[in-house]
Amino acid sequence: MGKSRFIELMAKRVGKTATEKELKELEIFLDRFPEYKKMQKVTDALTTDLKQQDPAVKQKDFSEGIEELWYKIKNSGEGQVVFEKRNVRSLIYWRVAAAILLMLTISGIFFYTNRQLADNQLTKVIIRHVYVPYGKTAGIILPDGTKVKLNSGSTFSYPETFSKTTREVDLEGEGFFEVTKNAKKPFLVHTNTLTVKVLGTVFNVKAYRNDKNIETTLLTGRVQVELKDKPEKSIILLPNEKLIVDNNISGILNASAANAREAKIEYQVTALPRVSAKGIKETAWLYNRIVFTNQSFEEVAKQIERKYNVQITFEEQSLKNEQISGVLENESLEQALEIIKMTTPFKFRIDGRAIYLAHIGNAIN
Amino acid sequence: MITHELIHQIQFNDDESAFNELYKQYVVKLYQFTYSLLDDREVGEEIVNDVFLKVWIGRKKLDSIRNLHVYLYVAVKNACLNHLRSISSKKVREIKVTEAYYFHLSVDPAQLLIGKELKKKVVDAVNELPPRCRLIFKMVKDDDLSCNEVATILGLSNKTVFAQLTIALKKLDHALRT
Repeated sequence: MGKSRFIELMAKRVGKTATEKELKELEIFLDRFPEYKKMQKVTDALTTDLKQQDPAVKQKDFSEGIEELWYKIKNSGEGQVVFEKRNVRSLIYWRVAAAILLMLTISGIFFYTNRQLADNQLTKVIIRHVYVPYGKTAGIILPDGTKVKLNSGSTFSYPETFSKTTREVDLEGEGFFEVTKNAKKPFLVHTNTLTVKVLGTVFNVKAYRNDKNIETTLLTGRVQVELKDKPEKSIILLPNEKLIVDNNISGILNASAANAREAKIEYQVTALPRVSAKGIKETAWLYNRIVFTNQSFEEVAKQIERKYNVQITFEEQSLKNEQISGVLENESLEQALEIIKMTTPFKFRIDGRAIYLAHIGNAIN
Repeated sequence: MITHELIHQIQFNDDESAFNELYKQYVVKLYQFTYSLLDDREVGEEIVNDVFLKVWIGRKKLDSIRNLHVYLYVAVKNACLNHLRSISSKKVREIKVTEAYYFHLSVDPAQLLIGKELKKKVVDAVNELPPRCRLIFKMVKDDDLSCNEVATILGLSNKTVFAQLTIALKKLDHALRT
């Protein structure tokens, strides 16, 4: 038997594909030619040298990895997230869907993305917009692996590919971030009044336009918060600290430490808030949409006025307070009013740019 | 506990410590596997954790996985490919083994039967193997995978894997003789 046969048998043994017969053959061979034993012994002794590995790898022991993993498991809710892409829904459908969702207590997702080409000097960057309506949440994974959970009524923008030096996203509303660590590319969350800068961490940002305060809650890692109107002053948050910034004056009201449990509850408590129309209408109309959930007819009317460039007059004050829900998108003005009529009976008269609304049975002047 | 007992504990008793044990058995090997496919340590670790997250979430059907060993490697590989696809617009069809964050092979000092000089020669010979060849050699040698399992994981034919393994052994043999 030659050397090549020996190598072949060795390969079969190492690769665990050798038959009994082949193993026997190798044994006999090694007995007859003991000089080959050295080769066998060296092969067996070869192993991955942990000492030569990146020291950071060694430091990261199992406990840290497993801890992170359990944290993720507990946060995943172990539930399934269903993604749905929808554009136009009638009022009735919306209500039925909302009721079902409420019953199941599983948040379905009304996922709305919009591609927009923005000229970025030399290169074209595709910006993705995610908008999450009320009563829903959405989960997205960014190009770098960062996970973002978006709460109801949030608008979130991110580039399809991040730039070479930073990862920047925009948020209006509430988002829970698990940022993939990358020391070379800081992750920046821009909101109206502040910017949160991180390298890799888990945190929650609540920045609704119509809320009194903007809250940043840090769970693990380290974040740096910069106020838009005071860029020289940056605040560093440590785990389980919450920063509350006044939405209008950007004055720091309170930076208090809470324990982990409280910080988590903080997020859960605010997970499904009822947000008034103001938070969303500014951004919703950009996408040619009006979203309203249990809002007064008066507020909805304001949005319709803006979208269709009309003037709405209520003949009766009581009609203003009717609670209505729905999504309006590509409907004509008359279609939109007909849709609202399906759940809230009223009659209307269009006179050029003026619209008059009244209860059924009452005369419209 | 051996793997199939751990799987049973996890599936039927939601045994968290068994899951920790399973994690411990695989995590370093899988980390190293990602390092050889990705140029990014952090992403690799994230990917490994996500695979385990899926294992836990899907634990009630864990016994439908015929070979968890291979399943974990394939899941990690696919996630790595998805990641590569997401960061480059190019279509990634097959894995490209990188040089970055690579493992290094060494002779276990406890079994040192050869001189220092010769040892260096052997180690150099193995570490100078082409990346893919070295990965295959490492997977069969260190990760306790068979040729056929490596072939399944990497999407190569059994023959290719075997040929690569033979090349590695020939180099080794050559280093010992010169």
